[in-house]
Parts: sequence; C-alpha cells; structure tokens
Amino acid sequence: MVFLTFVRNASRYTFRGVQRKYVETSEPSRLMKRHQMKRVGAKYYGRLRNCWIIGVNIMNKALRYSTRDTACKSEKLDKLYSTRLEAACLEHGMDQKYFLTSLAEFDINLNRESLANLAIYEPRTFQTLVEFVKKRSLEIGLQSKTLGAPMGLEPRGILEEIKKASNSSSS
Amino acid sequence: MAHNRVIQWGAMARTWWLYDAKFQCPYRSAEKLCMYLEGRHKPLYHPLSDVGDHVVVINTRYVAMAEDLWRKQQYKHDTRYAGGKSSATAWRLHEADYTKILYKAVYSAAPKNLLRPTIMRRLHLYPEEDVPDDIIGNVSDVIRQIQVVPKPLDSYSAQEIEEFPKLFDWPEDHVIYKRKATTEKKEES
Repeated sequence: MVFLTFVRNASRYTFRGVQRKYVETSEPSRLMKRHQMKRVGAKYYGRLRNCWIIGVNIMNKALRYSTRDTACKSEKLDKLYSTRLEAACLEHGMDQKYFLTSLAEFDINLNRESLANLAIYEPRTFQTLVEFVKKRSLEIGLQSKTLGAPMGLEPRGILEEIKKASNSSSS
Repeated sequence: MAHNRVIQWGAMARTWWLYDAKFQCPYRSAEKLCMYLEGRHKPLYHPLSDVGDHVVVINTRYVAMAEDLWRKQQYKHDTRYAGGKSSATAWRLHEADYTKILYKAVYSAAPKNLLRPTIMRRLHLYPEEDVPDDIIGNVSDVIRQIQVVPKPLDSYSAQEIEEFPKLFDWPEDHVIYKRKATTEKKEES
C-alpha cells in the first residue's frame, strides 16, 4: 500500500512536536555528507569505507593529515638549501656565511635556493661566484686568511704510507 | 652529448675516504664522519636519497677522550630480561673491542631513521693501520683530522728540552709534590 506509507510518513513529519534539526539549520544534507565520506574514503578497504562512524573519523583524520606539514614545509626546504649550499661552499674551501654576506655587499642578490640550484646544475657558474668573492676579499685584505683550501687537497701522506705497506706485505 | 652520462657517473659515484683517528675525540669526529656518510658534503644532498660515501677509519685504538671521560662515560646495555641491565665504563668497553667506542659515537650521531643501518654499513673501522687490500685499494682521499696530534714528551731530545725558553727558576725552598713510585710497594709486599 504505497498511499498509506506516504500518508504515514507525511504525518510523521507534519505532526511532530519538535521540528527536525536539518530543517532549521543550513547544514549540508545527510546524503551529501555520506557522499563526501565515500569519496574521501574510497581508497580504504572494508569497514573503513563502508561504515559511517569509522569512515567519517578516518576522513577527518585524512583531511587533517593533508594540511599538517604545510606549516613547516618552507622551513624544511630552507634547511635543505642551507646544507646544500654549505656543501657547495666546502668544495671550494669557502665559508657559507662569509660567502653570503660578501655577495650581498657587492649587490649580487641571489638567495640560498638559487645558489644551491646553481651549484648542482651549473657548477662552473657557482665557481665563478666563489672566485669573485675570494678575489674581492684579497683586494680588501679582510678575512683572506680564514678562507681555506678547496676540498680534496688534504695532505695524503698517511694514505700513501698505508698503501705502500699493504703492497709490500702482499708482494 | 655522450659526455653527459660520464658526468652522471662521476656525480653519483661513491668515493672512499680515509680518516686517521689517532688522538682524536670520538664524539666530535663522529659528527664529521657522519657528514661524509650521509652525503652532506655534496651539493645534491637530500635526506631521503642515499648519496653517502664510504669512510675507512684507522687507528681507532688510539682514540682520545677529553677530561676523565674514560672513567666516567657509561655505556648501558639491556637484554630486556629481568636483571638484564648492565653498564660498562668507556675504558672497559674499549678494552673489549677497540672499534666499539667510535662505532657507538657514529651510531648516535647518525640520523635516527631507516637510512641509519645502511649508513653504518658504509663505515669501516680498524683498530690499527693494517687494512685489508680490497678496502684500502678503493680509498682515494683523506679527511682532515679535527685535532692537532700532540707531540709526546718522550719524542723531544734532551737538548730540545734544555733549549726550551725558561722564564724563571723555582726557588730552592719550593716543594714540588712527587708521587711515590708504585712499583717499589709491590716488590715489598
């Protein structure tokens, strides 16, 4: 009896003492909320995507995870560029702090990110910048002693000794 | 350019480094060794990519500790059984294994993530200067020591000690405390 069920349902809503909440407020409809849960939880398996109460908790957590690390993203990238630039300076025996300050003094406005990218993809360009800073510091006569030798020019006496000893023992 | 792939090999190749740990602080040298093991000395470094180098450390037996850390530094161990906790001082651990202290120093200085075991596998520790040929054959460069190796007093000749500039002489009534020789006591008892 389709008609009777219609009347019963209609009377249930019309003769209610307290009105239902969703009529009063401007919340999204129940169906749309459920659709959202299904959409976000589609990648999960089993009850995580089929049950409402588990699925909605998982969905809220997933949405929270999605924006969790954006706050510290720039900070982490800055740290990475700093370590990369330090390594690049170390290859030429240059102090990173002195390098950056003297670049700023001579009005070469390059930040850490672009300098680190130069060191990876255009190492010769980076080398010219380092040589420029070294030459300028020699001309000024300040800090010239603190600039060390490039990497890979350590005295190798100990290595040669050990290799000689191992060769003599094996032969 | 056929030359490009050679550049790629050169950039990604693992170089081998030698470090002489004679009279070096293990904790401060561990920080420096970690830089090479992680690959932080390369401009293409990334914490998730495995671009570190090999480091061969010799003379770990003659590692030097500051102050009285040989007596006071405690290395703890727990078997997770009841009464399984134990601790050993640095000098006792060093007697058991001459490479253990530097290994633990590097282990604690390394990043605490899943790359740590692979980093530790690239560290080769030797108590003396004799290194196997297949390992020393790969080494191409030396890492600079962090401390200046001190010259022991025995190595100075008597003439050099006499010629050392002296500002003043002690007065005759000045008493310098001298510890008694312990060997005599043992002979008596």
